[in-house]
Amino acid sequence: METQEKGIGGSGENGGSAMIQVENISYSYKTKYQVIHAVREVSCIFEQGMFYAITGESGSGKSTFMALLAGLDKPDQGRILIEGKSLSEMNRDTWRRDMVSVIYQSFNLFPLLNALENVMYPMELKGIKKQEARERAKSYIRKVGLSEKIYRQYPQMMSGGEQQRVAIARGMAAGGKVLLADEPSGNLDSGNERNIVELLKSAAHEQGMCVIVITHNQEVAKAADRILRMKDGRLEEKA
Amino acid sequence: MFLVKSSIRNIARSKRRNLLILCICMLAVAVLDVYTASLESSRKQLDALPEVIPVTGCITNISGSRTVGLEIKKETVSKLKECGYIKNQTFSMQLAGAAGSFPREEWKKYADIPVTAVNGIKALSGAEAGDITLMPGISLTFLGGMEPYCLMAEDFLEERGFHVGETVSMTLFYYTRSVYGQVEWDFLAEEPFRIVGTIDSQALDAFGESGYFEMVVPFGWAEKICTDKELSWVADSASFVLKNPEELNAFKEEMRDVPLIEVISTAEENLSGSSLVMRDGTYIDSAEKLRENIGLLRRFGPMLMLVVLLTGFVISWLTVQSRKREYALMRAVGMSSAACMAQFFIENAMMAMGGGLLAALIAWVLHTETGSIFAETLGIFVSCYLAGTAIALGLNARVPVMKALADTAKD
Repeated sequence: METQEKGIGGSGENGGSAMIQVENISYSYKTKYQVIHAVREVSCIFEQGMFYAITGESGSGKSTFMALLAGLDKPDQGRILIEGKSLSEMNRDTWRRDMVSVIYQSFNLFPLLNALENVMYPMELKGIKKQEARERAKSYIRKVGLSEKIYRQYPQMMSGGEQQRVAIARGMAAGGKVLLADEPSGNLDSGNERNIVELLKSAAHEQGMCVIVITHNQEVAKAADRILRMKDGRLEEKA
Repeated sequence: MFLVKSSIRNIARSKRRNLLILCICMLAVAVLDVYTASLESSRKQLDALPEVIPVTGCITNISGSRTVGLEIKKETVSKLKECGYIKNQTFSMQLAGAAGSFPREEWKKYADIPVTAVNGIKALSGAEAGDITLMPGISLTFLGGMEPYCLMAEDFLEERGFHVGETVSMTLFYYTRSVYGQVEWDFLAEEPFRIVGTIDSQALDAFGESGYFEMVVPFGWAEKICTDKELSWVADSASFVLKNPEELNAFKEEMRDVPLIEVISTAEENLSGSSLVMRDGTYIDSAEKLRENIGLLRRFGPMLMLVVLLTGFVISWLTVQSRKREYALMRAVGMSSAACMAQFFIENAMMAMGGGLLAALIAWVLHTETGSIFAETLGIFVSCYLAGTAIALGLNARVPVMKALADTAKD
């Protein structure tokens, strides 16, 4: 890519193209009494087909950084380029709908929809026909290792691991290019944790998605292609 | 379409919460129904009041002590007939009668039949239709006409050997007052009168102020004779009903030109029919109470609408607050803030319409004649409720997604 720079995250040297290019972004939370600098002058590159892990202590700005990548808010300074185009100039709702899937630690699924409907939701939002969406949803639910009996189950009837796998299935089925996950295995036991990590790796390496995971868990971080560390709002690459 | 389908699905799958909202909406509509029905009922009562409690009036002497046996000028009678503010005018005229043939100069000896000319039974104070027996084919409406028909007291009929249906030659006299103030009787007409009915003699005594009479003839007949002969005649009583009590003052103003003035209770007694008395006390009391009631309800109306608006606001606010996670998730998968709020709005609108329609239907079944009122109430409820909903959702839409996520994470 013409604008590609050698920097944190990736350089294109491994054959992956720069999916997301972050240029010197900063973000602060402003309240009546104080200003909290959550992200400070962060620059990095994220490539397609790669699995990134961002670690750091609580309050280091990881979740804020991920929310900015998801387009949930605009950075106070700097810019985020998506395949060369500035995110602030795009419709961020469209970016999230068409290109990004976001997975959170514990509240991933719509409580009033069953597993199948949850996975179908983003596809229906895009205008994909119900029948096609249903077939794709079933296919991805099977891909994440869940059986047919989960189709009609509501989130409150599923285990934590099943809920996260359904969330990953939704993320993959939506057909986006980026998968952002904030502590996806935070509430899970080690067995489920390994399953989730394998699914995320599969999303990156087999489906070619750019997978970015925030985690405290060293085992999850070790499974990543690249580990980045956030400290006091600044990003550095871990060797 | 996606939003509508999602809304219907969400409503169906949150039965308990939505049932509560439905009940609240039904209750709100029921309260509004009671309010509008009360207001409408009071308005209808006020509109019907002139019929239920008619304002009547009559001519009296200046001291207000007499309503019959007066001397009411023919000009006054004409003015009352022509006046557009009143209806059901009743008049009576005292006459004297003599039956059969006799020398004209001896009329005083023979004119011993007290006669009254009236234009309706109401002019006979205290009279009821049951006191009168008519021959077949005749109704009391003849008194409003000019035909030479008459009613006679039963005892009088028997005494004179007359029969119902018989035609009797009568000579009638009218009275005037001389320049010296003395009553004088003059010849009015000699006419064959057909006896078309009788009056219960015992009831005659109870006819109150109308005085004693043995024969009743149509007022119109007597008036026509007087007019044709250009005679100066007087009516001895006049009464009427006001069409629209709201126009009482305008009516009184018009009567000043007659002239008819207010009663002066300390004035000297006389027989001149020169004052106007209106029996409007009961009407005024009732109307004032109804107007006060209507005014109170009207003042309460805006407050009620505000309560409905606040109900919509609070329910919507609490709904969105309790579904913050869902909202954050909807935004995360790419739904715009406007689309999210639109979905919540559609859900609230469906609940409001559902609850409102149910309540309106129940009210309509119970009170079918007021169906249009309940439709109006439903419209007011939905407008105010959804206005509150829109405000609540508008305020919630301003909350940044990242704040919503942060709040949700704390939960």
